[in-house]
Amino acid sequence: MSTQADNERIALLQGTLDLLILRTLVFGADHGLGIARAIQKQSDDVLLVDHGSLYPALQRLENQGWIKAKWGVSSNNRRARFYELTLSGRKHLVIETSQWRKLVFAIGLVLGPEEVEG
Amino acid sequence: MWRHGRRQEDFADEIRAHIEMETARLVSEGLSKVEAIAQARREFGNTTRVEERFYESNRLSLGLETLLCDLRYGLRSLRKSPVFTLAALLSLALGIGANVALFQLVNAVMLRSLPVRNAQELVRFTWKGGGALPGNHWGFPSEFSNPQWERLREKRDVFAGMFACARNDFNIAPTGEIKLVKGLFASGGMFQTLGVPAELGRVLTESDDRRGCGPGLAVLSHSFWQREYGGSRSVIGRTVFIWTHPVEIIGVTPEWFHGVEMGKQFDVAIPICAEPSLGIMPGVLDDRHTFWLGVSARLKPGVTAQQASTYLQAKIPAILEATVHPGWRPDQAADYLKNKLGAAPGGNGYSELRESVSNPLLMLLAIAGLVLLIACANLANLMLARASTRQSELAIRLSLGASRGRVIRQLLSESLLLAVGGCALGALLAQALTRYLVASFATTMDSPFLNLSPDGRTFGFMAALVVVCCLLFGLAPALRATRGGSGETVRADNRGQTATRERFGLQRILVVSQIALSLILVLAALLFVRSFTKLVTLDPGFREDGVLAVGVGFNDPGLNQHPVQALERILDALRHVPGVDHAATVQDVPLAGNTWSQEIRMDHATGWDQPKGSTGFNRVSNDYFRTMSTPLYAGRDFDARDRVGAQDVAIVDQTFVERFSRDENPLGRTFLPEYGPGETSHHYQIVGVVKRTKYASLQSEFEPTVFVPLTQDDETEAGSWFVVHTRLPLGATTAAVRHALEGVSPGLMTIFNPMPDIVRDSVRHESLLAKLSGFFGFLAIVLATVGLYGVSSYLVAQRRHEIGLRLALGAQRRTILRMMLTQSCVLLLAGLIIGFVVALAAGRLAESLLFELKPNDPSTIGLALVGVSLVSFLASLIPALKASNIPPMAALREE
Repeated sequence: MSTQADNERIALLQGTLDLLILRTLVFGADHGLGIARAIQKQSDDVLLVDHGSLYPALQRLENQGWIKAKWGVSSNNRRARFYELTLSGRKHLVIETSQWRKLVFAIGLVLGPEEVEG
Repeated sequence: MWRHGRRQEDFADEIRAHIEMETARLVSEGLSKVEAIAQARREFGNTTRVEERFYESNRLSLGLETLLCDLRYGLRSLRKSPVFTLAALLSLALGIGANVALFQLVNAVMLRSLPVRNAQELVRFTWKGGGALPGNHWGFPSEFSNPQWERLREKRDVFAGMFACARNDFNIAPTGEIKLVKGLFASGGMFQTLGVPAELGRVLTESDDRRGCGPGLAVLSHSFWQREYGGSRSVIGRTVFIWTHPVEIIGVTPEWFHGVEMGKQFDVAIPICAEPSLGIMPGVLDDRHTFWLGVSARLKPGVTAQQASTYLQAKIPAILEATVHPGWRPDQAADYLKNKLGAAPGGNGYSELRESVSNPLLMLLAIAGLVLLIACANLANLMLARASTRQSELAIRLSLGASRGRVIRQLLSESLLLAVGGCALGALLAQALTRYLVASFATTMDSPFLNLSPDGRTFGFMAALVVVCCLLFGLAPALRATRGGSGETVRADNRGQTATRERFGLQRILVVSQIALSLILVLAALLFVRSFTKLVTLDPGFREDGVLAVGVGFNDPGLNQHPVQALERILDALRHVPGVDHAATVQDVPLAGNTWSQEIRMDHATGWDQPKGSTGFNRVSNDYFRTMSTPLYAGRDFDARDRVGAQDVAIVDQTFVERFSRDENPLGRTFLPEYGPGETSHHYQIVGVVKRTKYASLQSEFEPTVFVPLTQDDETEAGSWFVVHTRLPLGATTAAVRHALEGVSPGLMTIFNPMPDIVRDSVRHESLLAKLSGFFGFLAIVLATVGLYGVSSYLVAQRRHEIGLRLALGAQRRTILRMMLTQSCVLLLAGLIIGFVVALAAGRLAESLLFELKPNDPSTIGLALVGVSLVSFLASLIPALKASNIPPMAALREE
């Protein structure tokens, strides 16, 4: 099913799931399963979304008003709840993304150049 | 209930849809339907857990949903332990009730505004110091003379209205025994400025208050109208007698208006211009050195009190310049011109009561607050003990998945129920207590009028008390009870292990603070009680027992023309009353409020120089000292030699001798009162010395006092006070004296005031402080003892098994006793030290309320320390004795 070995997968850092969901929804409305698959695919199967966390996370984002949801029909004709970004969600994403980049850059500086194993 | 708009079912639907989609994909990849469903489920994980998380996230955001549930649960668990509930409710009701009662009084006396439109616009004119107002200060508010007021009222640029007023007792009996009511001299603009309309008839206006208005017109208060005239509407146009002058009634004020003085309700208001016709203070309208009026104003919209002050300060020099009394010495006039005038917020009116009771009230409120703290500490202890007996219940709740916050909330809702219940009971109790307090402020002649109906401030105070109490006695035990976490608390069996020091840390803190607080309260109680005892046992230089003061006014042309002879006739009549052995006249009855004092210079051989100073003066007849049982130490009493025209003589008291006579024999020395230029001066020769006496009040220091003979007074007024000493009960004597005076002349106005009542009234605030602080101190020590006993017993119960083991292994009972007592004594010592330090620091606050006693009086502090230690020691001794008598086998077999 997955093309990568389990040991190369990385558990999501706390808080990053929200950011990834928002990013995924930039391309348009999608349902929960679609979002999970998209994250998996975009990350070359490195990131595997835990479904048990996905739906509470979606609910959290919805409560915060960053995404909104309505029931619709999926591409294979099944009923599904579709999520889309709201305007404030879009703004939040921009802020969060730039903060994340700064964080990654800063951590990179601290860790220094990658050491070659062996 | 209130959800976030999304229902549980909708969320479950979404998850179901997810799994179906995943199943469909897996089927399309070639798996069988059954395998596909299993795989999809496996990948998703625990769907119930996810749904649970959704449920919880929605629940946590509300809280109200579960509140009712928690309250019901709390009610149930309180019902299960009625003794605990009753004890908790009672101690809270006592604590909260005392606080609410005192707050109601503080609110009524200090915080409430006059019930008039826009009371915040009112300002009171006040002297800002810097100068002096030499002369007589008469009645209340006694801040301005009429000449000052007549010039001030022209300066109204920043004021929408201005008025002057003065409270005065009016006798409304046309003849015979005096019937005093609360009179009010009001300037014409008072009612209009305050915005008080007439309920019946009309109120006074500016045009009613013109010089030469005759006996004027009277406006009645609603309550006086109801009381005296039964609310009759035909009262308008009838007359009311004021000091025997008939005055026409023109109107009645509405029920909500009680006057401009907090604590007193006016009965009859008349214009200031009516004074000359009534002759209460002859010549006062033009008198520049009698200060008797208060002046207030309503600010124009947009003007601040600060701006008004600046305005008044600019205007006052010219007014002072124009009202200098020609008789003043140059230094007095210079002092007078230095006065500064300002405008202070006046929305809460004038109040003599406020000035005298604010400090005792705030002190009592602080004391009641401490009592409530002790009650809360006690309750917290009970809650802790209760929580530990419920430990297994709580442990099960926690291990079944209840969050800590959830359990804390549940425990707190129980505390909230107790606090609310205690507050409701306390509020009921407060009503009775408030009535008692108001009655304690009353004198035999007068009781304060206060608006005690609950208002927003009272309810706010009660709500704050409930919240604070609830947190104080509920939060810490709840936090403690849930701290262990589920696993630990399930395991924790109360038997078989020694309680650790940490585990009972909170209880120790509570006991220590209870002891500290009760030491403070016991100390306060002892201080106030001892101060009061000193006050009432001190020798004022006279004996009040069996002495009746009788005020007599001559409303009889025959008597008025020869006042001295009239006094003699009355004295003669009084001396013949059965049981009366002595009778005398006195200008100012000691301790009754009025005094007369004057600067004097001793006439020493060296000439007119030091020492000089202020001394009290009183005018008495012969036999006064025998009537009052004041011993004559040297010289003679007044007698027939002391007539007008003869050498002016005086009898002085010991304090006078100590202050002025430079160790010489005072008899035969002369002194000279400081009169202003133009006044006749008298050289008084000292003919007698009496024991030191109190004059103005028991509380003030012994001041030098001079007695001069009434028979040498050339301007005797048409009336005087008499004192008679009787061997019979005062009640019987009063009736006999009344009868005797009617025999002298039916036109005499009389008023009776037993001397013991005067003395009791003069110490009523100290008496109240002593009684209440004594009660609170007692309550504090009882609560603290119960708390200490409870905790000690609890500790013993906790360590029962351990003690049994120690005994079984050969420990001496004495060792056990010492071990348990050491534990309590450490707590006791810590509490005493903390309480001692705090009490010393807080003592300053009580200083002004104590009579001849310092707040750090060593013997009082010692007594408090010993008392609290002794009681606390006994409270911990009993459980310790029990501990040492535990039968080891029984304790061990319980395992």
